[in-house]
Amino acid sequence: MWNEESDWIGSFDALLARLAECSMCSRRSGERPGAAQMDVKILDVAAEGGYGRVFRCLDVHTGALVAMKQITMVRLSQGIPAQIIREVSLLRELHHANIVKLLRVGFTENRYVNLVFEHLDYDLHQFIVNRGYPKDATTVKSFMFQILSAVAYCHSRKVLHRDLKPSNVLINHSKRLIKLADFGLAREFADDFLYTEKLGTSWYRAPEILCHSRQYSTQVDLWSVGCIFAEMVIGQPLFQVINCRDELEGIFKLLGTPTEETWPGITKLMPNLHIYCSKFDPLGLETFVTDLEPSGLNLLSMMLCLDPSKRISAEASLKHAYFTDVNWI
Amino acid sequence: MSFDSSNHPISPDLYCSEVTSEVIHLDSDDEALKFNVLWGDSDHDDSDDESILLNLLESEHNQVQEQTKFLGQQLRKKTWLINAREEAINWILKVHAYYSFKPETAYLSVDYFNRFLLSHTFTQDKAWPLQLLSVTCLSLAAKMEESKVPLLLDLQVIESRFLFKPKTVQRMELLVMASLKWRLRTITPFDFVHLFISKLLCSASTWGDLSYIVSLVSDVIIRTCLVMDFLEFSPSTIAAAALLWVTNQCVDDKKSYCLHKNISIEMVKKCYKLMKQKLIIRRSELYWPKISQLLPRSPTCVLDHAAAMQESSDAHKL
Repeated sequence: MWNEESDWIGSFDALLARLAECSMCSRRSGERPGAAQMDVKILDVAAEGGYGRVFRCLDVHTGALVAMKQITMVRLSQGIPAQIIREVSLLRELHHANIVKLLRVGFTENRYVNLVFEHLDYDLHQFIVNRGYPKDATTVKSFMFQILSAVAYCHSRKVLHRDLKPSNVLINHSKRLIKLADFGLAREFADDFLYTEKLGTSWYRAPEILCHSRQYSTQVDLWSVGCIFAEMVIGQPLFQVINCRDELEGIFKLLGTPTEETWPGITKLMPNLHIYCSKFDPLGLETFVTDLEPSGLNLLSMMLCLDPSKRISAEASLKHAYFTDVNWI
Repeated sequence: MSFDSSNHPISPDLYCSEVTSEVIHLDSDDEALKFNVLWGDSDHDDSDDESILLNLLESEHNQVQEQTKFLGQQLRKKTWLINAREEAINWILKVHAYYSFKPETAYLSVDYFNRFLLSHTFTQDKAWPLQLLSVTCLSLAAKMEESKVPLLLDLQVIESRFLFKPKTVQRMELLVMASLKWRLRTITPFDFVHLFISKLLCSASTWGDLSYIVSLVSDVIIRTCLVMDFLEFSPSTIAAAALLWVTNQCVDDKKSYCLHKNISIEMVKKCYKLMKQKLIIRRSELYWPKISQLLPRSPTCVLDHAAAMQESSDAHKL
């Protein structure tokens, strides 16, 4: 048996190399694939994270700038990480002008998976921090419309993003074009997700997730979009401004502590709701989000709605008066 | 909508689980929560459903163009592969039951398995490559669908003649993903079931226990994986036929149009007829408004085995 397996694995390696190359690039090579075999020339390291690194590269065929995300596979006992499988599989099915395009996939000696994406100039976090945030109301509105278009598209395809935040919103500078990125946490609806600490960045996390609810759906993305919206207007994370010991306290301070009337089911979801017994009266969004036109503030309040079942959908947001009162496109 | 789903487990009970893992098995709360999530968007209006359904059908059309249309024909030329495939799928379904995975996980595993077979030729009658493929496809499907995925070695605890090292499975994972062009998000019949149920309810609002219907439909859909002849049908067709079969309704033009105008009535009829013919595809029991308990497990498995044997002998006659 060992010999049989060895033989098969031997041919397996060669087959693997050929298939991995021709399956997406339509290119063949007799060599084992490596970073160089991704048909890119590495320029520099654009970012580093727990997953691995992102390189800025040149596509050797087109000369275009691309971004190569190199993910280290560290736990061999589990095979390819689920996050990689999910991100690649979902991106392969999502085709939208406001979603980052995955150009090709490859791997290096069973240690790295290399994802080559179209390159965009910077992310929204950098845009806000370095350029004093988009004070121009037209830019905010344009960015919001594009973000919501992408989110509505994902939701119509039953995909949640679950980690929307400024650093996952990429920007093409010259075109002022927005693209959503990083679908590693994305999932289809109707799963029984078990809460983990790693899900999403805390300032953009929906209250139903913070309550450790296992019942959540598309509404979590709309909450995150609302936080992004506010951040574009005021220039810093909304729930960073509201300085509290934890995010839930900040949310309740801003919007008021929920009751069974305002959020049916909340006492079952949060048996320990009493620790917020000071029963905050809402400070109100208008206290912090100044300089936003009334229709924008109205839309924001519908996104940052405590009760998920009453929160506005991405599709409905696109039809809100905020996007119809001026010809801004 | 609100249901008491505690009496009707969602996961289809296809096979005996002599040992249930305490770590993996979902408790009743998880079962209830799982089901509640499925119907979580009860407040949205019909246009949302219509939009989702149209998107699904478009995606399905693109998907079918690339996939298993010809697999059945190719498989019939190799008798040994028919039997080996059936054995492999049975193994997948046993592990699926052991870990109480979702129905989607079972279906996706078999889908990846079929698509890989379509793109590769197995020139020799060896058992271990298909076993490695089974482990790999199940692992990939679990990673796509499940929130908790057992270790690669633990996936192989059920009746495995070979035990593959994690490194070997990982390499096979890369091979399978590359072969499938990294397209693992597949439209399945389960994507359509709740949409079709909500449509049929408009015209037949007497069904009192939807969770039970969903459970039976899921059971039927998974059983279709064992019968090669179902490969010619699209996921939406299988979902429609399974729902009509489970609810003991005949297939007519009115019902087909009620589901969606793009659903082919002829294909649904053909699929329904096949479900009727194949013994392994049974209505687990006729539906009654109040079900005190499901059938005990062992007799069901014995019947499954007999049905599978008969199916196998039928296959030989082709």
